[in-house]
This record gives sequence, structure tokens and C-alpha cells, in this order.
Amino acid sequence: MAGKNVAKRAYGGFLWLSGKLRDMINFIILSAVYFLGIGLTSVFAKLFGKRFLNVKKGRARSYWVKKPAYNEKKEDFLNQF
Amino acid sequence: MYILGISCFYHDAAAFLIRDGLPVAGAAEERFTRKKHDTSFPINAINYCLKEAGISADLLSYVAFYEKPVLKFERVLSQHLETFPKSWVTFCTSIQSWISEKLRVESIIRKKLRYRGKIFFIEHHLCHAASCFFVSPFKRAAILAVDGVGEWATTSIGIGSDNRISLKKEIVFPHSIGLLYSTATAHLGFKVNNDEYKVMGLSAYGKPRYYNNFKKIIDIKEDGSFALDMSYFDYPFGKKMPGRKYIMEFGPIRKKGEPITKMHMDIAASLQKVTEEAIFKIISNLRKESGEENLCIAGGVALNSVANGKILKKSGFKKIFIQPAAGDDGASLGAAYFTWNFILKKKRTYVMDSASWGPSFSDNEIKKFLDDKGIKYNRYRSASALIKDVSKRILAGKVVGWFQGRMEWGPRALGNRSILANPRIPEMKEILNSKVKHREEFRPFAPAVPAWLARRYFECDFPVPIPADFMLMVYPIKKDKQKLIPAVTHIDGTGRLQTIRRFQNPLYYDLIMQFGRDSKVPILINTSFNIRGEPIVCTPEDAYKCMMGTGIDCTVMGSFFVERKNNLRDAWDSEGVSRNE
Ligand SMILES: [Fe+2]
Repeated sequence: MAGKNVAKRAYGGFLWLSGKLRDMINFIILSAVYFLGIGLTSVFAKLFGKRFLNVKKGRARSYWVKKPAYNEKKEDFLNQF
Repeated sequence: MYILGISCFYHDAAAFLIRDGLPVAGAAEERFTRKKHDTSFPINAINYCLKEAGISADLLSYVAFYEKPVLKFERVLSQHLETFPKSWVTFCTSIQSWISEKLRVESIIRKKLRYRGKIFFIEHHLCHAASCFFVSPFKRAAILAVDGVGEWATTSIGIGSDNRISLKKEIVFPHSIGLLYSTATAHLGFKVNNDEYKVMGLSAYGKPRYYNNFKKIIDIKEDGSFALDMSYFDYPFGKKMPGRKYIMEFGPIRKKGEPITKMHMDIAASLQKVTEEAIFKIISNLRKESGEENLCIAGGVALNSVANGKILKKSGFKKIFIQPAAGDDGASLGAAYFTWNFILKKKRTYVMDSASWGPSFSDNEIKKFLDDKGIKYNRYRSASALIKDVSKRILAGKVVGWFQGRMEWGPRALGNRSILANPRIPEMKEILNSKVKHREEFRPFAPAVPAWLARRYFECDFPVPIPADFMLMVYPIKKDKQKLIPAVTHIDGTGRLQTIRRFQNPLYYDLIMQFGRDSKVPILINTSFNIRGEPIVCTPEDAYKCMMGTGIDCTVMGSFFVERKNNLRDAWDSEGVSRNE
């Protein structure tokens, strides 16, 4: 009985450790994607004056953005974009 | 023709099924998984809807999803690109859910439902717009969709006419009234996407001393458009919403367990004032521009019942409609109706005047549950005996669990999964707070009143708008009546009433009328049937467990009467295991 309990605990510990390890590897890979993909794109785009969000304070008279008329074709609603 | 609408992976996951333009069933996933605001794929809610219709998924003509995932992902990527490198940790922690589920919605739907038909992906604010307009009583109306954020839009205005909706203008992320409200919610030490209504309740206790501080953060134009000064916010890149500048302006974030002070109340009051200012300007401008007399609102901000109660007086609109599930759960209904009315160009045939679209349990099912568990109970011989007995108990100060008919669609308990009590007893608020709900002192309880009697007690719009039936409007309680119903009179003399019409729920209506005859005041306290931190009960088992874990004296399930004191062997302390805060 005691042996079974030890084995159960050891297995639990192994699962916990493997989970942590997986999270760590994921974090390292995603960090690489972030700095190489997002980072480089962001830096270059900003060098050329491109903004991705409208975060700057403006002196606009209105902040409404006109919505383009959407297509009413059934097929367009099958798209995820 | 069956159409299933689905919302999930962000706020409240839900499913809504319609057949030939009429509702069949709808529910939020949280009610089945017992996980509040569950965002996961709503497989339980879908299975329930299909079961209610007696069909399998292959008989669905269409499935409609409540947003366009790729368009939303574009916005998320834009956030990371704009805020690099501050979004590093958020990117690493959040991108996995995009890869594993949010961008795989189509395959998840097909796999989980074994469905081969067409799936429509409908823009989020179009779903919100459809969720209110297509089930409204109006042939034409102006529409406002306002929430935290959809794909890009945070606020959209437009027009609905017959089975057409046209959204004309929008405000886009990161400028958002919903996210401003959520930021303040986080700063005041409450849970984002959960406790915004607590901040609304708290606002009545404060003075808007911080109004000018908020005006530094938000620029509201006369045409209702607005922009936030993003230097005050961290939400475009971080998990924590208020930024350093925001904290400098309003003080440190209230930590868990810290007391709520006058300062917190004043911040809440100021936030509510500035939110109302923005909403009223948008709506007044919408009234002028559209020339419409009717207004439909949807989106999370439409749950701000304090603002809703003032809209008709402030905007010039004559009528208003808000659907019971105004938040993202309701967008599943919107997706289904958008498909039926807009895409398929079918005529509108339904007005949502009832929220009873969830699971119900027959007397046989309830009896089987009670017998199987060995629970002691009595059975009423008739509805009139039930009503007379329950009214007498409420009059005597008992707290009654009320489990009847189909569970409500939307976040409010409306007399199907409710806790009922006597509003005339001044201490009833404290009794409910300490014995049953275990919730903050400052939160008010709702009065339920027959719609035709509402004007006798409340300074409400006339005729009473349908959204009041869904507990979405706060109105002042008449000065001379406040003393009659102290337990539901909020600190500022208002009440978030539920008006009730007999056709919606005859037993509940008759009970209130009976209580009126017994007490001279036809009003009951109606609060949701749940343990703190848990979703509203769904099944007889949930209801029984809730009663036995709290100070609810008895529960009426169908025609059965179950008393707590007779079943003490099942008693437990819900507060000890409460998952909230
Ligand atoms: Fe939304």
C-alpha cells in the first residue's frame, strides 16, 4: 500500500515537472517568435512611420470612423475575416 | 429550418437555437459547467439546445459564430506590434489559446458537433445589433452596440429596418467605454468582466469628485464620439489594465480584502457620471442623425441599468429595447437571428418579451431527484395552495428559493431561478447579505413588481419598457413609497426593478399579487438563486445544494416544498468554500 502511494506521488511529481518543462520550452520558442517576428516587423514599420493602433492624441473634430458598406453576399459571411 | 448561434472563447460562452425564426432554447455554458463566466466551447449548452429541439447536429441548417476570428486576431497582432516590447509576456501567455482554439473555431465546431453544413462568421457588433433589433418590437430603430471590444469596434451606431441592419459609424480599439469601465473595476479591486455591476452599485454611495480626473483621460465630443488618452492604460499590452499614470491620478489599486473607502465610492460615482455622459451624447446624436424614435442597445455596456433608466428622458427617443442577454452570451442569439433575417432575408416574426429559454424540469423529474436523495419534502395540491403558503412564509420573513419552469436566458434571475424575500422588512437586506448571499453590504436587492403597478411605486417611463422586465432599468422609487420597501431602496433612492406581466410567468405573477393582498405592497425582493461566486442554479440538485449551503429557509421546486431545517444532514457551509474574491 505504502509502495503504491509513493509511486502515485512520484508519478504526480513527474507530471508536474513535465508540465513546467513544457511551459518553459513554449515560452522560449514563443519569445523567439516574438522578438524575431513581432519585434523586427514593429521596429522596421515604426521607422517608416507606420502605426498599428491609433493611440496618439489627436485634434480631430470627431472620432467616429465611417464604416464601409458591407457586402451582403451570403458567401462573405462564410469567411473568418 | 434550425439555426444554431454560438459565442465563446472570450466572455460568456453560450448557445441559442432558433427554428424558422422562433426561439427553441438558449443558455450560457456556465450554468452547466458551474464555472462562472465560462468561456470554453459551449458544448453542454449546445447539447441542451439540440435536446430541447429533439434533433441531432446534422439536422442544423446553419451554424453561426458571433465574430470573425481572423479579423480579431489581426487586432491582437496589431496590439503586439504597436506595443513591442512591452507585450512580450502577454504574447507568450495568450498566443497559445489563439493557436489551439480561437483560430480553429471552424474545425472545433465540425469536430465537436460532427457537423458538415455551412458555418457563418458574423462580425461581433453586427451580432450585438441583430441580438437587439431583430427580436425587438420595432419595425425601424436606431441601434447602438457598445462593449469592451469586438474585432476592432468598441462602439457602433446604425439603423435597423425590417430585416436589414446597417451599421454606419464606429469607434475602434483601443478607445472603449467598456474597457475604461473595466479598468476602473480592476483599479477598485474588483474582478474585470465580472464585477462591473458592483462598481455601478457602489457609484450611488459616492460623489463625482473625480469627474475632472476622468475628463483628463477621455475626450468626449459633442457628437458622442470619444477617445481615451492611452498613456493612462496598460490593457493594449498587459494583463493589468490601469497604467502607472492612472494609478498616480486615482491612487493605488485596492487590494483583496482592503476596505472600500469614501475615495473608492467617489471614483465609482465619477466613472458612472462620465460613462453616462458619453452614452447620452452618443444616443442624443444618434436620435438627431437618424430621426428614428425607437432605440435598440446591445453589448456589455447595455447592462449598465443605471444609465439605461435615464436614456428615454435624456435622449428624445420614445421607446427602447434591450434584450435580456445584452452581453456576449446574447451575441449567440444575434448570430442566429442575423443568419435568419439578414443573410437568408426572412421576415421578422418574433418579439423577445420573455427570457424563459433555458432548461426546465417536470414534477416527475424533481420528485425522482428528491426521492433518490432521500430528501424530506411536501407537495402542494394546487397552484393556489402553493401561492398562499409561500406568500405567508415570505410575509413572516422567510427566505424562499424559487425554482420554477425554464431557466432564464441572460445574467438575471427573473422569477424562475430566484431567491424571494419580503422587501418591507428593513433588516432583510442585511439578513440576505449575511445569511444567504454573503455579498458586499453596498449592493442593492431588486424589487419585482407587476408592470401595471410599477408607476405606483417607481418614477419609471410610461409605458414601462420591455427591458424593465429583464431587470435592465434602474428608476427612482417614489419618495413616499421608499419607507414601504426599505430593503430594496438603494442608498440614492433608486431600485433596479423587474416588472412582470402575467403571460410571462403566471405563477410568479400570482405570487406577487397574493403577497400584495397579504402585505398591502405587491412587491417582492428577487435576487438570483446562487452561492457567491457560482453561476445561477440550473438543476434541482444545484438548487438543493445552494439552499443547504446557505441560510435559505426553504425552496419551492415545481409543486414541491423542501425545508432546510428538515434536511439538516445535508447542510454545509458555502461561505467556507466560496470561490469568489
Ligand atoms: Fe461584445
